[in-house]
Amino acid sequence: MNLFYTFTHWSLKRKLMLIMMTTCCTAIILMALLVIVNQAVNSQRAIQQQLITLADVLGSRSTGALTFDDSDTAIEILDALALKSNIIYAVIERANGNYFASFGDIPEYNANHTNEFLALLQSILLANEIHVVRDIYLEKERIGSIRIVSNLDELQGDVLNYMVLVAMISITCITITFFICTRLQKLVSQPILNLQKAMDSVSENKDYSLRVANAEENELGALVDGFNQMLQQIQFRDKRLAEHSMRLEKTVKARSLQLTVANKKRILWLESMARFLKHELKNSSVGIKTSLDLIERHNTEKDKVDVYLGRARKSMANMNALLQSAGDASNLEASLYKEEQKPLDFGATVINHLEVYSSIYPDISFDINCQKGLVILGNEPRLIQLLDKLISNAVEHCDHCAPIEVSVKQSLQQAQLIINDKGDGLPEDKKIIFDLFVSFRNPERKTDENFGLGLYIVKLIAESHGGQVTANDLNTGTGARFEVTLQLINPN
Amino acid sequence: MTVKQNFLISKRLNWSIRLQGIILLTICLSCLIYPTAGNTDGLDKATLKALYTYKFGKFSKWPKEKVNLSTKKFEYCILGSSPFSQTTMNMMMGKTVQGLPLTIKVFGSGLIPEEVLSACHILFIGQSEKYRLSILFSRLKNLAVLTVSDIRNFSYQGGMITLIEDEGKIRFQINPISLQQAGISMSSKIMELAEIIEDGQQL
Repeated sequence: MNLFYTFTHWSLKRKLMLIMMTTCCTAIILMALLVIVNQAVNSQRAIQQQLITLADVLGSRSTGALTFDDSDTAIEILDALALKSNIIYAVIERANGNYFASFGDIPEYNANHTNEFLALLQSILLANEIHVVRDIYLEKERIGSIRIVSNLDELQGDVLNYMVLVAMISITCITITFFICTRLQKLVSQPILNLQKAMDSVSENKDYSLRVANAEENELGALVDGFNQMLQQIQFRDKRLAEHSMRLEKTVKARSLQLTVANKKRILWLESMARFLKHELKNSSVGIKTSLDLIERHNTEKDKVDVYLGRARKSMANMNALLQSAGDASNLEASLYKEEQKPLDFGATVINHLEVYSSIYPDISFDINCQKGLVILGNEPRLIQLLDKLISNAVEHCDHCAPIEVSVKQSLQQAQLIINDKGDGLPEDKKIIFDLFVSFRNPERKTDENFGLGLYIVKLIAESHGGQVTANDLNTGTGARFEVTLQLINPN
Repeated sequence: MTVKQNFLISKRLNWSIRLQGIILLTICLSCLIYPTAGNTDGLDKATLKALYTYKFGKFSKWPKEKVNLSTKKFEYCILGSSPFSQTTMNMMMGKTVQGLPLTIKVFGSGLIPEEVLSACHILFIGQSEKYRLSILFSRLKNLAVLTVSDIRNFSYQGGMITLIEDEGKIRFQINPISLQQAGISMSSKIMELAEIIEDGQQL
């Protein structure tokens, strides 16, 4: 368990080396052992075969001696074994197992040993000796047997030399294997180490533009590709975040600028509104004061008092209407940016509502040309309010004989609402007509309740929808052209 | 007798049979392992001479013509007084030499027709013929017959193998020239055991 725990903390390179070297060394050692065992067995077999051949030759030569019971000649024949130093002893026995002739020092003669099976058993049991027993035949008749016993000193010497040789070869092979493994392990470990280096570099420097070189077309290659793709995605995401951040900064700057401008405008507007209110309220209060002075002076004359009271009430009503309009304008401006906006078909909305105007203004004819399917993000009641104000303005200023042209169309990525009326023209300064309490009505048409709020509301609604409104003279001569542009959601 | 007693008796019998089987198996194995007896110890000299004479046939080669003409028998002929007993000859009768069954022919002393002699593979010449050896050899001339005898100086006189008694053992002398003249070749395994006589001289 501890050993396994130690291995888990080893580097990949060391683990690979361990695996390869363990496998190779095991294979080499097993092979060496097998070769040594094989060599030992083969050498023993060779010696045994030599002894069998020797026994057969000597046995054959001894047939005459055995047949004619000449043990001296048999001993002479066996004496030839003196040339072989590894022979311990040799015995020729008669067919009945009795001793006939021998060579060397026989330990303790036992006739029962003269059996091939027992000789083999002895060879196995006595590891340092080889016993060979061969029967001697004369014309297929067994006339005796020869037994040769040899030591294994020569074999042991040979095997020892062979073991030293194999050990040296094995050590050489293991050394070569070590160098080969050192090179080969890089095939697996190098891409992973490169990946790790790249990962460390990315973690440290936060440089996601870094890429790992990949020359593999396997699982490691896929791993490197995956890592590179991950870096690419992070880099792309960072780039997009940076872009978004820059855009946001620009938007915030632009918005801040807009707010600053709007604030300035608002201050100016508040100043102008204060002046306007002061002027109007002063006029009304002067009218009330004058009426009251005249009532006091002519309080006995009931007819005159009634006229003066009427004038005072009118001035009071004018003051109330003025204060109501100022309040409405402030409320509208405050609430516009809080209202929810939804996608809607601007052309269809305009077409649906123009039918209502035909019933409200039966004397006025409308020339309608609206394109459907132009979807914008907007608040429908406010857009209808915008249309109401523009139609109301056109009706007030138009020549009743000519139709009011209403059209909705697409211009680039915007929806355009155009209302043309042929009637009173516009002042030279076209922008001023959208300011609060500005009215350029014909004095004959002007009423006491009209304080120039209509086009101001149009401008507020258009701007709250991210659009704008412009006014221009018609090219045909008298008449005005109001154009509202709103951003389309999906121009295509 | 109860069932229990029957069971005990049958159990004892089973054990007895098993023990007998083991002893029998041991004896059989011992017989297999122990080599068969066949040495010449205890045989009298005459029997040994008879056995040696026929065993020479196992180490000799006769001319092809002799083999082809033979009657599919290995003929062992005895001429003159035979030293071999009937028991010895009966013992030899069942043997084979060079794959041929051994037959023994005994001829009395005197002149034997050449045709009869030519059928013999081995001719043992008894002591009674020691004075007629020269005539016999002249008859045997050019015949492939292995002549063996225990007559003194038999090989010196032109005989092929002489059996001699030496310190209680049977030894033999061989005359290779006589063998060569008869067209018979003798194995070196015999030659190295024998005393070689050539041209009437001991080598």
